[in-house]
Amino acid sequence: MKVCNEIKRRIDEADDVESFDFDIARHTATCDNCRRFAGERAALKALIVSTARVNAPLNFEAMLHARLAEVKAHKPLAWLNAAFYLRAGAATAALVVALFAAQYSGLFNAAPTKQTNAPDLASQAAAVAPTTNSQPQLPEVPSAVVSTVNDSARAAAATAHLESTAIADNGVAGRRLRPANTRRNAGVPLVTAGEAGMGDGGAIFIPGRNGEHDVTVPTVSVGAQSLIYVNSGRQQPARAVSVSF
Amino acid sequence: MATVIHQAQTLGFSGSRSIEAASDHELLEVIRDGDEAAFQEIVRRYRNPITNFIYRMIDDYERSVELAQETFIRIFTSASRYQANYSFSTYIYRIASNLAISELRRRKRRKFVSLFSPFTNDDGEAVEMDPPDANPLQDETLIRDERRKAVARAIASLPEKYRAAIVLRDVEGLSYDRIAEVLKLSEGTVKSRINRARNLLKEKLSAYI
Repeated sequence: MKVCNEIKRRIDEADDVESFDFDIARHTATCDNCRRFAGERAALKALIVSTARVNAPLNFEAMLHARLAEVKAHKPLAWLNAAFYLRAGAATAALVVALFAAQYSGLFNAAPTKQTNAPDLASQAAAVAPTTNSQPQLPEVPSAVVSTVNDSARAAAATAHLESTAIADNGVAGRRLRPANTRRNAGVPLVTAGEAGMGDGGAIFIPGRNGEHDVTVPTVSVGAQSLIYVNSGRQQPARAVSVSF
Repeated sequence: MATVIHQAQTLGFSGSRSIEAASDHELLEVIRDGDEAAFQEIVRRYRNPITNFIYRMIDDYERSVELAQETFIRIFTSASRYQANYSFSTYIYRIASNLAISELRRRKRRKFVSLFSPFTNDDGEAVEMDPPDANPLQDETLIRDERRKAVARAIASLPEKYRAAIVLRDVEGLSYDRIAEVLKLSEGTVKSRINRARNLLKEKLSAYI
């Protein structure tokens, strides 16, 4: 039976159903089942082949050239079809989803400008920091720092922390005040010289220390009204105004 | 004619060798430049086999002519993307096969119901109720016509995955490996499908065998 199956398979796959290999012919000479199978396959093949083939009509080429001319006429804008718009829409949607996903995953949090700007801005902040306590001076806040604060609160955070290298690598700049440098006054954290931080929900940055004087650094203003400002001083707590846009 | 001679010279044909003697690949090289004479030669070579193949697949002559023309239009418009990894006949049969299968699927979605095929087979496809007439026919032409129709209906009633394979093998005479290339299947799968298709055809055409 196994031999018969193999013989039938070879008969079925044979290119010429009339003449087989010697071993197949020898087997079919003695096996009625396989001989009948070979006869059926030959008859079926002959039946299929005997049916008349259809040919292309006489005007096939004329019709083809007419259609080809039509295709050529529409060729420049042929790609602007419904399928194109569908693909473009799908690609745009996929891009938007990818951007949202990247934003939520924090891919865009690490701003490379912080590291590049941090040394320069930190040195500016160090320049305005007092060196002695005997002569309190009104610190001059560098305009560059102020403008930086106004431009970007996050970038300004990098300027304030003198001992830090780069702020907000983890995206939580407001937690950079270290306990050792933070004094408590009625639960309000005071900002000492060279310290800066970001209040909860808002950015407060002190570029320097003013001794006994208070310094108000408006950071964001709408019209004449400051929305965010900072008081820095020995006894004055830093005021953090939470903002959200 | 001048174009043909020009292209023949371009192809390096001279003397006894003409554009008719050029291989399919050589003609495709010229068609890429938009030459219509070479395209006409390709059409002349393959219009009948492609029309017959599609007709066997969809059993609709008018539509098969349209799809054959669509096949050649695609050959012309995408000649620049043609890569000679396979023979050109494999390439053109693949396009025709894809068009025919798409047509079959479109018809299946639209659920065309023939007045002659209210029945379905085990695969859910419509089969025509065409019992063979046991009465002897007097006219040999009528006999041949009846047999031809029965074979066409039997092939058309096959599932599409079997139909393409059996038509390429038994009607067009392609080898197993060529069929595998056209249908993008393994050779073993092609052999299996052809065997299954023949078994189904043997049942449908038992009255004629």
